[in-house]
Amino acid sequence: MSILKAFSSGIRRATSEPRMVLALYVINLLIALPLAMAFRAVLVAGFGASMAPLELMRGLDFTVLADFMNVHAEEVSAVLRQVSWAIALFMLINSFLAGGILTVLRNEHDKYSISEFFAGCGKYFGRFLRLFFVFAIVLVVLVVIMTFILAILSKVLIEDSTSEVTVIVLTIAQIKLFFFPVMLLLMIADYSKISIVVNDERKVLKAAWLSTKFVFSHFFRTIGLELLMLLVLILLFAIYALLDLAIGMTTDLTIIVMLIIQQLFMVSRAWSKVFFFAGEMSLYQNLQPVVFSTVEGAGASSVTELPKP
Amino acid sequence: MEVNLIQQPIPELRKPFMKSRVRVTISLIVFVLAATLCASGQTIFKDPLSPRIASYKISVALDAAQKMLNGKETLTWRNTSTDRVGELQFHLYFNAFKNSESTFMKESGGVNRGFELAEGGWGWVDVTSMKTADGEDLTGLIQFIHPDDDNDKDQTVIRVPLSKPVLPGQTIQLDLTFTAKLPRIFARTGYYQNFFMLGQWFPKIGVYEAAGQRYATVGQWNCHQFHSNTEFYADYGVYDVDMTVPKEYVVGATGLLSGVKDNGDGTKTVTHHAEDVHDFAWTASPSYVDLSDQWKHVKIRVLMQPQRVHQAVRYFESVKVALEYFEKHVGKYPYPNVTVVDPAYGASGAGGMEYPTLITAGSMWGIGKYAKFAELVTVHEFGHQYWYGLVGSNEFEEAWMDEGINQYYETRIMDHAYGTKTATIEFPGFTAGDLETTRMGYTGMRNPKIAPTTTLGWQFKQGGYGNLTYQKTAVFMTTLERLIGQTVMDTLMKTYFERWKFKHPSGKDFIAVVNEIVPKYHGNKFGQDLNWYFDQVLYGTDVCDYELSLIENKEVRTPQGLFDNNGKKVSFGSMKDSSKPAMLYESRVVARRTGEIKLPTSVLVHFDNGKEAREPWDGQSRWVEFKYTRPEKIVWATVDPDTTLVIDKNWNNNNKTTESASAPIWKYTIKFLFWFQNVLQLGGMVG
Repeated sequence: MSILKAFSSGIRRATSEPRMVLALYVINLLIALPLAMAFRAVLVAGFGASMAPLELMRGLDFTVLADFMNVHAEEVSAVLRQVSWAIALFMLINSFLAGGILTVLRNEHDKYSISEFFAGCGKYFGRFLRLFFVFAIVLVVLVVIMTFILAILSKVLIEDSTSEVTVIVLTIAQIKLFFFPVMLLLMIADYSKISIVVNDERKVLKAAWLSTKFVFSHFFRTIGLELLMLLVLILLFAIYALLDLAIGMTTDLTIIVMLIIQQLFMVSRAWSKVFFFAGEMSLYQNLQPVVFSTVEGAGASSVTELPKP
Repeated sequence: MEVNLIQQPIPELRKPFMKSRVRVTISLIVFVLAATLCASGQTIFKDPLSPRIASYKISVALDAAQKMLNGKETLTWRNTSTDRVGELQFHLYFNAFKNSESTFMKESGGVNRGFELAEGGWGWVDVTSMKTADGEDLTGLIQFIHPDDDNDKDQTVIRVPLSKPVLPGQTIQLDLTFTAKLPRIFARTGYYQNFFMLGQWFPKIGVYEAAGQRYATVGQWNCHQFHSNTEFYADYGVYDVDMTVPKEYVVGATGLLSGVKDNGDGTKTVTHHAEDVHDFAWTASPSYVDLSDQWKHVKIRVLMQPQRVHQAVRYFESVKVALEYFEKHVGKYPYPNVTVVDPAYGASGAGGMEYPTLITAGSMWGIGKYAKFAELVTVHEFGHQYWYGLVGSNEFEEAWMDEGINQYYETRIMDHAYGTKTATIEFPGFTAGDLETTRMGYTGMRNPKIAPTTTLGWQFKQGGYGNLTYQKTAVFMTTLERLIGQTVMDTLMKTYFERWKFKHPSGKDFIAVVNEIVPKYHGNKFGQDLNWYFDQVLYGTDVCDYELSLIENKEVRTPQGLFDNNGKKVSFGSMKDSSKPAMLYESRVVARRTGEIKLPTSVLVHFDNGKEAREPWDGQSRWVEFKYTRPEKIVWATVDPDTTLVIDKNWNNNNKTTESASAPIWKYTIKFLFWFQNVLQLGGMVG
């Protein structure tokens, strides 16, 4: 199966599940909203009835911002400190939601139902959580190794260089070099989840290993698809940036307009989450060797649908 | 001496920066003429501009491989005091980098402005011989002294007793030889690979301050050790310096080029002549791209790193901007040239430094005009040609007089040339002006009361040197300018400059000029003098903060009951509109002084019909209340409406409004929400 087929299948599948996409968006919003309101409370308390914030309508005014931070840095920091906890929480929630998303995507011909979605969430959460910790450990190890390798490369290639351009180019190359394995790892983690759902694999390490083999045996296709899908994400960002630049947030009306655009963008981000899984699942189902496995039902076993040759 | 007036070849790369070849030609002609004049033994200035107390003839050879200097120096020092001077004192600045026990290294911890002295990069200087003109050998009499602390390991100052004192008006000539090992670029001097920046590299005599000069009560040497925070102080003179370097090296130096001699052994000797300067710095590298341009009488030379040649236009532009501004607002730049050095990559520690007619700046490949650091550092360092170079204040003891006053001019020039909101950073959606960032350097201090600005440079033990000498000074100078008006400010600065150029003023000399000029234009508006101002902002540690703390509008109660109207008793509501008492509001505004600094200001009150009331306030009391009974309500009020008091540490609390200002709060809440949602999604990729 070609990358383009998987890509278009991903778009089609993600687009055909608007309620699931909406549910994912709402969950994201519900986690972000309390902290945003806490941030607002800091601004309201900090500025009081001052007219200074009016200067911020045109853009970030350095003096207003600096004077604000001089007095309220602690409160702002307190809010920002919560961001990391919220991210950790969202990661766990994503591990939970991934089971639901993949269950819905696997059953292409079934209509989305909340019960099916949450059943999938519940069914795979334990396995995905284990998988999460496995990949978190691998990620940490990978980051340490990469940092070490890049430090050596820096010493050899950059430290005594007199060419600024060379140094900048090498630094950018190093950053890319750093992110590529991370991207690869995250992609393998995705395929592991897909493998667990498609094959109802209970052993997460086995799933991780098979997915690694899968990715490397179809390296250019998996990477190609991933990059193509990333391109969609970049395109979405670019569209948003252009709209932001064109509209700005300088009046009451444009603030409301941008709020709508931003939230639509976030819906598209939720859509892209489903899109990534759908594209990857499509590729996986079509490239993996034929596997017979059983899906445990309520006291019965049934043979899964065979992947297309 | 055989003299070849060879200008460095003009590379093709310079073309983009020249408006036309004509400018290049003119620039070359001017330069060659100047060089020819010097080579023929003529001088730069017909009459000396300075007292020329300390003059040097130096021959120095750079061993580029060993990173060593070997030099011969003839110093001519004149005793302008009425004292019999029985000893001389010299700075040996390079010894600050000799080992970890020097005062500089102890104070800095081996880190200067974020740059660390590289392992094995130690530098030092030895005076190998010192003789008087009549042959008396003083070498054995040299003693290291440490006038500022009890660190007997510090070797940055020496004293030499003389067998015969130098009498008032008499001149002494000394011949010295010295050897120096360059540090690997640190504290704006040294080497990095084949890039050399030589600042504070030769044995340099201190300043003998006669009784009455600055703060001296008796005649004494002012020759401080090299400290981590402090810079320099020296007497004016004439410099003739021969620099021998590998033949392929491009040399830039203080003063004018007066000759280049090929030594036939793979080296050349470049000679520079400088008059009425108090220091001499030079640079050498084979990599420099040598560019030049002309502004009126000033040849601007930029020694650029090849990969950053495209950035050179920014140096030229900002030097011209600064020259123009200083000439208009302060006084004429007297020298015929200025050289801007772009340090090599890896030698950024050499950037951002001033020497007479030579400054080091700093740019970076690929950095666009959205970050105007190249302009900012150039304007700043050029400004030091005035506040350090021409007005020779003591940088050790009163850093605010060079760094602070210069920072004030940097903000003026940058904001004037590049925009009050865009002079430093100009990203879409986020900009900052130079005064804005400078002000934040002071108002953002955790403890602005840590020390007075007048603290001796090396005694800022708890930090705050930069914030209090650079930024706070710029902030209180701007506040002064806004209080007295820019025209008066320019007049007083012109007076100060003209009176004290080529001299060594102290802080009290500057304040004396302020006290002389301001009453001339403002009478007693600010009192008989402005000592009260400097006592607070310069000598004191108090902070300034004015706040608008209350706006209140109370409806005057509508009359109730029966009222006589054309002989009838009628209730208030049934009266004809014309006879109805108008609706009135009792309104009040309260402004408070929450800081200790007391400055005159005003409160602007804005009513809902667009009318305004401006209430002067001397700012002395802790609070002030203004009451109104009017048919209109107060909508907003602001203390210090013209933002005169730049030293006020929080402008956000200067005003209040009774109307909603919630839109921007929502704007940033929504932005926060959006970006936080995105961050969550990003994190979710791992989950």
